[in-house]
Amino acid sequence: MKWRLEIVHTTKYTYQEDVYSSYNEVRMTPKNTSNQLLLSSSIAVSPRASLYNYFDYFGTAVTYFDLHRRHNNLDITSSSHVEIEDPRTRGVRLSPIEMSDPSFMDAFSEYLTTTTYTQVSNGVASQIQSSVSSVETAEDRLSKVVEFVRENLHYRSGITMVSSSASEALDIGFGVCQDFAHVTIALLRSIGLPARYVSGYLYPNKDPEVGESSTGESHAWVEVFVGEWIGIDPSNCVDRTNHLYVTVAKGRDYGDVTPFRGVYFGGQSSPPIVTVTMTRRA
Amino acid sequence: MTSPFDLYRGSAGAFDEFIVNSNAKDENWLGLAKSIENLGLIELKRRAIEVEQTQAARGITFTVGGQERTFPLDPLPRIISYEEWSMVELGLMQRIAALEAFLDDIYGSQEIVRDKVIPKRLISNATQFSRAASFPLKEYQMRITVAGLDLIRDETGELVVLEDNLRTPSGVSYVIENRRAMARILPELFENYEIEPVTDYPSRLLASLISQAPTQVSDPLVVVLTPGIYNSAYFEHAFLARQMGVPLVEPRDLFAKGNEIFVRTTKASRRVDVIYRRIDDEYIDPLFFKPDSYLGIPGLLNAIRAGGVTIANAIGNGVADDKLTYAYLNEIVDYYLHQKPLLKNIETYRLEDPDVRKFVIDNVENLVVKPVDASGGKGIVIGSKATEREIEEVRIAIIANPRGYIAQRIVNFSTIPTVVGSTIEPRHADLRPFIVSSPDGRYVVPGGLSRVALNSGSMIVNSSQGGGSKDTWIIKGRSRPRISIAPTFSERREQPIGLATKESAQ
Repeated sequence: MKWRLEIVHTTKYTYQEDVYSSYNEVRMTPKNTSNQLLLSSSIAVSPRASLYNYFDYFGTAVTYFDLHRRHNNLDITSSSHVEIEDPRTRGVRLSPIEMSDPSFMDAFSEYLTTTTYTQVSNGVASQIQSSVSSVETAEDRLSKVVEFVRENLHYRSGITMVSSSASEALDIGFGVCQDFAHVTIALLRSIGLPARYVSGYLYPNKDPEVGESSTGESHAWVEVFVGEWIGIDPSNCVDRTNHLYVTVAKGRDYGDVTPFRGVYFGGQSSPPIVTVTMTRRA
Repeated sequence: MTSPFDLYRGSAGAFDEFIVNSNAKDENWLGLAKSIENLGLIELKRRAIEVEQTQAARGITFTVGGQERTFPLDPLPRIISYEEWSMVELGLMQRIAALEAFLDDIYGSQEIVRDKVIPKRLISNATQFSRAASFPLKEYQMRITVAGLDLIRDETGELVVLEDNLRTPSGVSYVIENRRAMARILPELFENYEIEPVTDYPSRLLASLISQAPTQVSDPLVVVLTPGIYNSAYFEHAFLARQMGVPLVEPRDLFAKGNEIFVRTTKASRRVDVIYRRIDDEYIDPLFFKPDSYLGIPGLLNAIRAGGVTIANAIGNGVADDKLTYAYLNEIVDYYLHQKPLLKNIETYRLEDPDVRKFVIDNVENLVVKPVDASGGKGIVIGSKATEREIEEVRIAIIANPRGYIAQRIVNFSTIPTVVGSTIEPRHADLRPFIVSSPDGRYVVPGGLSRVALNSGSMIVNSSQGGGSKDTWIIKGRSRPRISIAPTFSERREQPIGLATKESAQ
């Protein structure tokens, strides 16, 4: 399946008192990947600001701007047009011997190392390690991890925070897609499988008409290296991501892909109002 | 008349710089001893105290735990021959050139990793590797504008590198102030000796900073950025700003706008072109690093990225003075310069190798263990002086995080005659030379800061832990070098690593 999607992602901040200056970074432009082509994109900001674009260490397109006039609201609109197909996998397998090879571990060290977000307790790590000890292939080990997450973490919003780590989410037993991703990544890394965090959008309907708009959502999922990189979506129990997933950024954890980050001087902000509208264009 | 040096015997096991050189009839050291004999120790001390009092009155201090202290200056200088120093200087320039190339590569395409000269995790697991600052510099910018390396003289008398400080090394103000003080303590010697001057440093630094200004600027504004008066090196920040004739600013004096940096003044804002910063990476820009930091200038990192301002030293240099990177210095010099290092390292154990790790864990008592990413002597455990509990803690720390530590042989580094009470006694001293780099070349301050451990037998020279300092004299002409320090090219690696296929001179 190959199709084209238009995505309009708006974020609106309202401040209780005027903000007199702010510095902001936006990571909301879809990537080019092996199964996704970025046809066009633009970022618009209100109040008006001059935008500076660059690609960061992880290859994500970043838009930076600063504001120096008094304002009490900030709107960011990211519009893009992408062509996506289902990822093609070659079915390359990875054996435990390859996984424990020092040169493999070195080459993937960036995605095997624990970060603040992707920590789990020693108890959890040894539990998952012993459960995969007799499992041969990387993909079967992955299944064990997915199973563990399904049993120990349940989807519920409003319990964890954007700053919650994998171990915090596991302790509570509830979380959102960000927590599912961090927990899954932490477990995968603890059994020697390289894993990375993906942020983007998920198209909600399976078979929309051309021209039909839907309310989509910002989403987070996981890529894991099992001989090749494959996408999995632990919070939706999807074992292979497909053309419904629009990739924006990849990194070690949420901290590397944060869609919006800012420092501002002035009044308190209310929680932002975020809408993602996704329309099938072809 | 007896000389205060008559009873001086040096220290067991260590190379004593006076004993060895005076036995070799080195005229400079003998001349120094003769002058002290003529002057008398009491008069020398009287002058030293007088100078120290004026220094304190002038505010030449550093701060420890909120308290201002003077950095005690020992009135006996350290002498290094011009011939030896010339080779050290070459070695320092070579080392900085290699580390500059290393940083450019690490924050660029990482060829050295691709060519498998160093493991990838050396970079990806380094706490000081700055992904946020991973971008190429402009061709007119340097990453290591100022370096301050720590050297020690080992048991054989050779100056070797203990660590590289490529972030915000401090101490150069004491080098300049110590020289001024010595001219008042021992004016007799300044008439007889041709001592290489150190007072050029501020103008050399300023020239380097100006040469790194964004290209379209004709009359660049340079500022010194300090965290503020509570920083331990605030005196130096103020000193350098004054000597260079540029504004001393704190983070709150600067702001970013449209990828340019401005300084607030009483009249209007002025655009800043070059920032000589003495503030750590973590506090540079709250948009990228500590978001709760009140220090720091939001927007600064992107202004640097966009070329609107130059910062010295560059962000992220800590990955090159990581002590595990140090352990790969031979490979780094070979890879980028196709040369052998002129200055040696101390033998260093890489703890990621299980056999090496086991050896170190079994022998902590006889080794020094250091955290890879700390500076200023923090977290270092000297096995021979540690308590059993400290040793056990180090073992646990190594097992938990082998990438976080390295171990080294304990070097019984050299001693130098030092005034202690009413006698002269041997005290261990290190040497911190300073190297200023600009796109046009490099300048090494002749000598540098000799730091002395004032307690008998102590090897802790840090100013915050009871260290003092000495003026370091590089003297031309009279002396004959006792030891040849010409580099030997006899050490060959079995296999050439990296791009270089080199032949070695015998």
